[in-house]
Amino acid sequence: MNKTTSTIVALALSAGIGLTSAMPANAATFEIDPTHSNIVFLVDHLGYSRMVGQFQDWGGSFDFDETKPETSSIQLIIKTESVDTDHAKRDDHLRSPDFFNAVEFPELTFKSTAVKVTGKNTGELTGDVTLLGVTKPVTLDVTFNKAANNPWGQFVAGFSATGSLKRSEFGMTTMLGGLGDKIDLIIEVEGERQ
Amino acid sequence: MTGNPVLFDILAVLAAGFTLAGVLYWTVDRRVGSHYAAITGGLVFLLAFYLAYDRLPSFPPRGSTNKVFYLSLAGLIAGLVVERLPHRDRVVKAAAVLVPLAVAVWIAWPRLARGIDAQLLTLLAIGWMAGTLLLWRLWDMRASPEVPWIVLLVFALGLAPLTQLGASVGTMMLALAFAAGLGGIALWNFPTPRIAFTAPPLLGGALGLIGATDTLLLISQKINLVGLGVLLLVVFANRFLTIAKVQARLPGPASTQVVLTAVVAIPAAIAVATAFVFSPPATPY
Repeated sequence: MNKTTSTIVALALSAGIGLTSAMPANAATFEIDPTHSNIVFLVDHLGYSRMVGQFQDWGGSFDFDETKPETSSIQLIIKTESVDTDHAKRDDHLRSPDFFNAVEFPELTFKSTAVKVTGKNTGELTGDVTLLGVTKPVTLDVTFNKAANNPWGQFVAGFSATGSLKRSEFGMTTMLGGLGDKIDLIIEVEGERQ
Repeated sequence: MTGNPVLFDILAVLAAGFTLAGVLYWTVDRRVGSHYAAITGGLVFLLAFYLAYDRLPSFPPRGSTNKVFYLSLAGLIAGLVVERLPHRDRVVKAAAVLVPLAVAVWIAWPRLARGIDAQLLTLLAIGWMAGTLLLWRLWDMRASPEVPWIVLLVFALGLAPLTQLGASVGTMMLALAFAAGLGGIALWNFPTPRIAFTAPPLLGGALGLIGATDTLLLISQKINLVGLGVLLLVVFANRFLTIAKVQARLPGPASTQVVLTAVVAIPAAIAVATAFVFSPPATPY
């Protein structure tokens, strides 16, 4: 079953059969579910459009308490080798020292340092991104979507996040004239309580 | 000057090489009988790096690409010191043998730290031999100073498309801009040789290019080995002219340089053609 189909089935089951639990979340550690999570990036291409890419191999965990979201934290490890823009030659180039330098820097990491609650279900998540051996703070706008039992009885919490970073600040400066410096991020995460 | 950033970088380094070499030659070298204009060969490499990657690399360097800049800078400074040593020739030849090995190990360190295998050792040996061959032969040619400048220029020009075929735009830009800078210096040597080829351009410029080649060879492993092997034949091109006694039949220094450049360009052209056959260029993306 592919990701989209499994998501549709899960949504249909939760809506139709009504297995979703209203149980409040407690402080817990969640393991990120890679089949229902994505890290997508967008970068300007010569001003014409924005090229879309994602990472296929990544994982991590987060600590979350729905009643005290400001105490939450998250750690992500992304394998740079797994960059995927749906074009094999371009992906090869992106793995090279011109961009992600996957041989020397096989991992891109994010480790949260602070959470600021901004609304009922929203917040700002600040953390350190380490890319190409350079660590810089990045702030993401996060929306808490839901925390409940899924149709299979696992307690799952889900979030959506957006943000951006400047690749030049991490020393990724190749083709700055043609490819944008600002990288927009769209992150969708589901985690299963451990 | 131009809206094309690639062309701008190339023209900027060409102008810098021509201006700096000329100023140093006419204001310093001619007056005190020194060879300071030659350091331009190392400085244009550093400028080419800055323009190709749009940055001064972090220090200490993170990643092989950044190592190339500091390798060139250290080589340029070492070259200035070596020029003052009494046994300069011996020191440079020892450096030509040992330094390319050290550079290859330094560049390949992230891979070596994870484990050594036969393929990596082979590539390391290729990087070492290629570096030693280039440095040794360039140094041997310096009695006719225009020759090593031309050979290094053509090597950089030939390397540029090889790196592009290996999907490294950064190294291609670096090689092209460096070649342009060397072109600016070479203009002062035409038809009368003026700018000597000394240790700073050898250990600053040429060694920097070796480091860039090692990055492709040992890190991204995206350089065509057959193409690189053929390209290295540029260092023997002037031998061919000597053996064939071509120079004696040419009317003057201008025609000698033109013929030399044409002969040196032959292996470079074959190398590029070979790489095209083995590694066809990617469709634009």
